[in-house]
Amino acid sequence: MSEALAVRPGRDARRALGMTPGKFAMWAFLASDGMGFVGLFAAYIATRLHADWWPDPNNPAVLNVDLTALNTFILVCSSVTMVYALQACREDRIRACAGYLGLTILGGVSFLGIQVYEYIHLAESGMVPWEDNFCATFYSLTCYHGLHVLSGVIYLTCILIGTLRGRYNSKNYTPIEIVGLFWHFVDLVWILLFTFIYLLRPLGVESF
Amino acid sequence: MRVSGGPICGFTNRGDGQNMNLGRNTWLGRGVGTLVALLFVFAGTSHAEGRGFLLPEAISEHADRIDHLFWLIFALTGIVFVGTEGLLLYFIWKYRAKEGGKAYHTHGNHKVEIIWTSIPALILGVLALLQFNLWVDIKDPERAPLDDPQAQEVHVLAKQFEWLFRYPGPDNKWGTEDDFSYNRLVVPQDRPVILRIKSLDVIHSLFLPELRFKQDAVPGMVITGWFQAYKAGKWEIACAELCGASHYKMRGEYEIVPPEEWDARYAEMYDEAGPIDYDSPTEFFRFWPVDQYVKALEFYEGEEEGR
Amino acid sequence: MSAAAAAAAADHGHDGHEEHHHEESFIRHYLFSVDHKMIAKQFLFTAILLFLLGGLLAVTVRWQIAWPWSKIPLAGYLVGQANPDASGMFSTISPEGYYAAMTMHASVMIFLVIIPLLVGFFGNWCVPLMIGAGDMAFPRLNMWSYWMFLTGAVFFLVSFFVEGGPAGAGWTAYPPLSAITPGNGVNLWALGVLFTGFSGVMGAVNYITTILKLRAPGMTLFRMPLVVWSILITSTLTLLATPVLASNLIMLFLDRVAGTSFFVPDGLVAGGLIYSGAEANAGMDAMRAGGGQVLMFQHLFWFYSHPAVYIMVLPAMGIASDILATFARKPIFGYRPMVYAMAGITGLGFIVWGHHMFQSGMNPYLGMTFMVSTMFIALPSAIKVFNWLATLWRGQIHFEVPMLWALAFVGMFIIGGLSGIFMAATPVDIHIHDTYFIVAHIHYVVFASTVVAIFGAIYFWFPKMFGRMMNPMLGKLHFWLTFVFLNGTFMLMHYVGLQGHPRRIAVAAMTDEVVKAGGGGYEFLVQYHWANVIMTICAIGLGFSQLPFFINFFHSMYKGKKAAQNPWRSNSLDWAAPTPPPHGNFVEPVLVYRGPYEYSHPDMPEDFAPQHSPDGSPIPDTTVAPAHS
Repeated sequence: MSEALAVRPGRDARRALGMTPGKFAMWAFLASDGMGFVGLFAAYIATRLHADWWPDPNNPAVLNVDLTALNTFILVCSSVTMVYALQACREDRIRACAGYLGLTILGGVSFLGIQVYEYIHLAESGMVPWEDNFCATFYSLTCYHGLHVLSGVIYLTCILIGTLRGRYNSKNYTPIEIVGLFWHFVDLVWILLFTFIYLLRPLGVESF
Repeated sequence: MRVSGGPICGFTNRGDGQNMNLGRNTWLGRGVGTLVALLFVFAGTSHAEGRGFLLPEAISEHADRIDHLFWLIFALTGIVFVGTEGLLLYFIWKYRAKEGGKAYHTHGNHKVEIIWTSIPALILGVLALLQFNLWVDIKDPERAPLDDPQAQEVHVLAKQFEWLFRYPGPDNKWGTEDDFSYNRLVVPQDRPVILRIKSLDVIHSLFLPELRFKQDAVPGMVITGWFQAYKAGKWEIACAELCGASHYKMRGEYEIVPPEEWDARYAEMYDEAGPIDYDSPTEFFRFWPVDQYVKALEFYEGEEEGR
Repeated sequence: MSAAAAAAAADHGHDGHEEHHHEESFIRHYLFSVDHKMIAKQFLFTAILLFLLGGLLAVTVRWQIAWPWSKIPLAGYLVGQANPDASGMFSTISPEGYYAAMTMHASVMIFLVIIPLLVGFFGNWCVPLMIGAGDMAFPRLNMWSYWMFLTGAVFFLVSFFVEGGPAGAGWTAYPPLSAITPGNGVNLWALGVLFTGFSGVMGAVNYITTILKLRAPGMTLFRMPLVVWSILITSTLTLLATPVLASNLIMLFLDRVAGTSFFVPDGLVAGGLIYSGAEANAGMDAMRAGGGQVLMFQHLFWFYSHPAVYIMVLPAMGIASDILATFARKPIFGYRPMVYAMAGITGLGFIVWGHHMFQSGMNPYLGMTFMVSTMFIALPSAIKVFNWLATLWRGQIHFEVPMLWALAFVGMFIIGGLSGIFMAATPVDIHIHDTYFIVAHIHYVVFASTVVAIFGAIYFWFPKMFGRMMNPMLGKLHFWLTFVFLNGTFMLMHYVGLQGHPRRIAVAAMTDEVVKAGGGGYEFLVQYHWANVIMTICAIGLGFSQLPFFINFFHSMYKGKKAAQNPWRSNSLDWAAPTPPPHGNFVEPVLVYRGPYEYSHPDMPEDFAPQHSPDGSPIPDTTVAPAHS
């Protein structure tokens, strides 16, 4: 018998890559979702580089950086509570887990609230999406991210309900890990957006 | 051979396990052969005055160089085409299933894989190297003879659904009173022609088949292209990019004028067109006043130098 | 987002779906099925119906070019909204109607027929069966993938009935044309593409996870059939490229409905009105702010759409490889090089998008790098062709219907691949860009190769799907008619394209009648009008050539000869399942002992050795499950 026909039992593929299918699928989805942000972000960079004029985002008359910094802080904190929630679940502290998940949801909701407040404020001062390309890219990127936060909040709520019903424990915590992956991704994207849209100033702008 | 699990094919099974259609392959051969023959016969009969066998006639050095590259690729791909399709047909005929025959069991051969990977790679690499100069000569504005005193500059403006051409007038300076616009591209033979191409509304594409010239006209950009024709005559301009419902009507004409007739012809065009009335609201240049147009050109050229 | 939530939700449900013994209701079974085989059939039937629509649109387009402004059958129904005078069975079309037909032909064929057939149908059908899995990793996500696709299809179909008709800006939808065209056609088009894109991403996540995680014991990566490899690689392309198109279409959509200017530059003048750039025209208000980048759309569009070309051909390559090996009774020559070639196409596929933009005015030195990468992407395709030829070498070639299609695939793919070299050569591309040469090229790759492989695959897997054989006589009739007419339609396009025939013109030859009817076309094309007439006649013939297929397909579904479990005596695991496979696919868990192409091994009495057979001898049929199709 040649090698080709010899019996050679293979490794069980189900344990391949050291993670469950759900977790792997979430990583794959995040790669895909990340490319969506890459598309919008590439458009933002190309538009900004080619623009004749670009407002200084640090100018309080343009964007409220202080408020958004607070918002960023809230989102980062919600990522921290997400980590605590997973840790609690791993240690079978289900009530603590539910509490941390609740805090995470609260962080997400506050983030969305502040963002909506900011939108209303900006729209009142005439910064509407069709005003110019600064506004167009600003709204498209932050709104696309905001929709991710919203879906994250809905997703987290589903997981919270599951936790309260006692579905997760130290032997079955993967769903919490998966929602955590998504939430950290959303957080990470926001830090990039905050840096590029709010903090990075056009060249040649004097500080005020 | 024994058929396990039922007949191979419902219809042609003759109960002996021999269920192939011997002789089909000759049909395939005849079909392909007839098609190729037909193609060549049709191509031959439609061989009209002034047009090449596969390509339109060529009237510039760029066109000749492109054609040379084309025929080189045509020869290379032709050899590969005949070789691979011939082998395919030969194998189909030669290795049709035979009674009691058994296929040769092999999983491949590293040596031949390396050979048939490296030879095409070499050919493709050489082909790529061959094109660098030609491509850059044609498309890089820095290699265009912009400073040649003989060069004739024409601004091309594409709009739905016509081509408009703008000349600097007798003083050969842009932005002066004697600039004029003309609805045909008329340029001298044997002198470099520099085109500054822009569009007013959507993307168009300036296609001059006999010059092998094609360049999209993109709104918001001024794109430089150039050519030097060695033959005089009249041909058609096509728009090669979908620009709206009347895209198919966006036909233009271009004319290459012999060098000795050019000055007289230019004066004639100037008289015929008259100067541009920048104040007229129907005049399209109203929306692109000349100073802005020149500014855009300067900006574009400055960017080139900075590269 | 929703896909993520569904993925996780499906993850919970995964353990539960094994309980499939209960009787399923009609709705559960046929509409909201989570069985990969039923979902595959849903994709198949939907795409076949839409294939008819796309074909009729193609005939409309061809008819108009050959006989301008004559009455075209069914055109009034198809693109009548773009022409208020249209009515009845025979109707003339307007230029808007022509461009709508052309745009929707390409969009329907690409987004609703070929990609769903290759990935939605074959991916779903082949992947779990061929790797020995009971179902996809996320059956419910799989169901959602189909319903997302159908939603996209509905958006496309609705656009035929809105005022102004469907999108007419080309399937590439280059702004500013697509951004400033009035009407809802382009909006619905963008939504349709977005939803089919979501469907594709959901499918891709599912396929990759299934292939990497759910393989049967013994099924190592390099024991997978090339079909499975091709789906894995295609899914990677879909996963990473589609969201970029989505973000691009979102921006186009915003430009159209929210009045932004992502792709609207300064100084646009449309219809005699200043369209954008207020400050450039003091005293007059512009409709848009302006300042956008036109070429940005093309870059982002082709970043997806070039890989999409490979999404449309890689699974066809996998299918052809499997069919060739089966009917040549020979192992695939160079299995690993075939896999590496596909991987190479994927890697290079992400850095060649600029070759669609050589004449767009981008920096010529950037074009040069794209030219080099494009030249080298021809290499993996060449390797594959040589390996297919070597697979036939010293084989025992059985000319069954699927094999005829697979052989035609190889022959036609050579033509499509070689004509691509002309366009990769940037200087030659100057002349042939946006002419009929490129139309010929894309049709040789997408129709003559991919659709031909799809037909081969339908004939090949039909017995497993429906438990009945298709009629080989009708199959051969279908093959020969299609083969002759497709070459008649597309071969001459090379010729007229080289002569400078621009693509996307509603009238080509500027004959006297055309001039009387309002003009259009070009004088130099009058002498090639005969070619356009031949192409149109062949295109109509090509349409009628599909009749034997439809008759065969629906007749054999109910009346065909009963098929055995492994009628082609093939090795892969899909033939180890009962015919038709029940929910859960395999009667007992399969173990894999060898690669999928062990045909005609000298040590074996038979000329094939199923992957799940411990000693390589054929395994008797497992109990045939009651047919439920």
